[in-house]
Amino acid sequence: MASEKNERLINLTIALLATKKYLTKTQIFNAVPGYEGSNEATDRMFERDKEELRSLGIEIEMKSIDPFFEDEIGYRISPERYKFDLGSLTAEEVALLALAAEAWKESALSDLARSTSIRLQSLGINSNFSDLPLAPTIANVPPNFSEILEAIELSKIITFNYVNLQEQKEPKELAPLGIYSQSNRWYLYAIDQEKNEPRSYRLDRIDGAIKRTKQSFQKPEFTLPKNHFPQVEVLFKVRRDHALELSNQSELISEDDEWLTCRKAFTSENDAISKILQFSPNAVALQPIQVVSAVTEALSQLMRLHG
Amino acid sequence: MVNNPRLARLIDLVPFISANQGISISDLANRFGVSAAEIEKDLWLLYMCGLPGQTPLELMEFEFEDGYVTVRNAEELRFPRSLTQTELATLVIGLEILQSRGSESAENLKQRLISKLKTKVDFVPSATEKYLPEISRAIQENLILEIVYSGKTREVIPFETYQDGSNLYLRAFCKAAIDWRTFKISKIQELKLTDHGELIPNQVPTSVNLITTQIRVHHSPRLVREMLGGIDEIQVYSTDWLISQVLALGGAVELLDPHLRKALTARIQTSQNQYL
Repeated sequence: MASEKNERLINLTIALLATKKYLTKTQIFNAVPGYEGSNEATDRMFERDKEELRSLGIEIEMKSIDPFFEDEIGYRISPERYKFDLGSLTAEEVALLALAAEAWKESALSDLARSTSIRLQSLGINSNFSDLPLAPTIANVPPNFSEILEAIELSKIITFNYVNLQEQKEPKELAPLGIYSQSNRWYLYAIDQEKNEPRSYRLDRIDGAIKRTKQSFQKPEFTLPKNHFPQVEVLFKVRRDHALELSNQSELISEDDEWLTCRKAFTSENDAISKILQFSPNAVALQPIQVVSAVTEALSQLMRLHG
Repeated sequence: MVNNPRLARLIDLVPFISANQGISISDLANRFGVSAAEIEKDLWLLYMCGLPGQTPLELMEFEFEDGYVTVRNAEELRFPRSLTQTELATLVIGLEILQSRGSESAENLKQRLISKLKTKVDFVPSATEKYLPEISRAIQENLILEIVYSGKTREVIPFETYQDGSNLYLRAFCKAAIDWRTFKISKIQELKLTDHGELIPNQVPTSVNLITTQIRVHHSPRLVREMLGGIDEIQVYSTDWLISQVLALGGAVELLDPHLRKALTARIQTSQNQYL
């Protein structure tokens, strides 16, 4: 059964690639073996086939072909769009692309990586794969990567469960816009349909699968919020040779034998408070006053819990 | 998502054989990561496919009975299919890593791919992506690594890498400390692969001291789980690390072990003294 389906899909691809003019469904069903059953059944079969080919990057183009009846639709695959085409590639570039694909070979996307590499080697460009730098590896594989990218490409609303602050699963309905990484984490940038405003969602906090709905949305102009986080400047001191994570990449204001006084921009006040607490007593908050009082309040709270 | 990897393979086989006429079935099996029997089944299926009519004139022609494969009359499928959006994105990310590792030619190629991408994907490689290839090679070839970690330069003999949650760690013998150390790879500031190796004094690392302890969560359970790896019973490698994290969580979590509580209150007290 499965092999019949694949046979039909290959024959469909060949027929639609070979045709110069758009073919109607009736012409397709006559030319390609395997479309059998009621009209409804063959229509459904064809819709599924279209979707399956699309997931492999094979786009079936549609066009209204009858001047009198708008619902007479024709189909074909444009050979230009079917073909792997990144412009003319040198042997070195082909090798570099194959190397880039290697980054994913141990990940959940290893099938894609292998196929990409095989297609690069089918271009007929002779490249030397032996004399290359060490292969890269992606350490932090974004979960649900292709599901999200496909929804963005098709401008479809997605739904999933998101783990909230209280560790409860909260259903979300979002218009996905883009994906970005920051500080070794992946984020989805999307418009919350309920609140009607864009937010960032950590991919590792998505629980279970992402569902793509049939509902479309209009993609607005936007920029990814990367590095647009508010920066909070905090003044603190650290004991010499301690809390290097804090003193690194900070501005040195003054120093004595024991302490370094530094200024550093944190992504949020909470981030600053938490980092200073983490290195206490070798780190001491100095300014602004609300950070200092939050740190001392947290220390009292910890003492109440453990004293 | 490739829901149908076999269909992808069937379509990819034709151009690959066209570009490598006379390739052996075992070589094909190797390249496509399936068994030779699987490839033969694929070839038989493709053998039956072709232009509408599917008469012998229209069918693709495969020869493979002697174990070597050639294809003719496969005009339509002769070119490899284009990259999907996900594949483009994975290549952009791969090139981004190569660029962070000093490859200059990656940039131009990356821009070309980005122009074909219909989605915004922005990836910044971390120290992990930047240094992992050298670390793997050092482990494989028994070479010493020179790393800058926590602001200090040290020579280490790498032993293994392992994943814990979303973090990757390097277990190595630190020559300065003359002992085993664990390094969070994303926190490595600089790394150099040396060309010399050295035997680790007592070959296998002394078993890692994993401590299991109980905690009570007072608020922000998601944050606690993400920082400590659990919300009731947790396992840690170092009590110092645990106490620092509990401080950082500022009252969201309470330690239940009496010894750990004592150590923590001592640290809170000296911290509070700083603010007197």
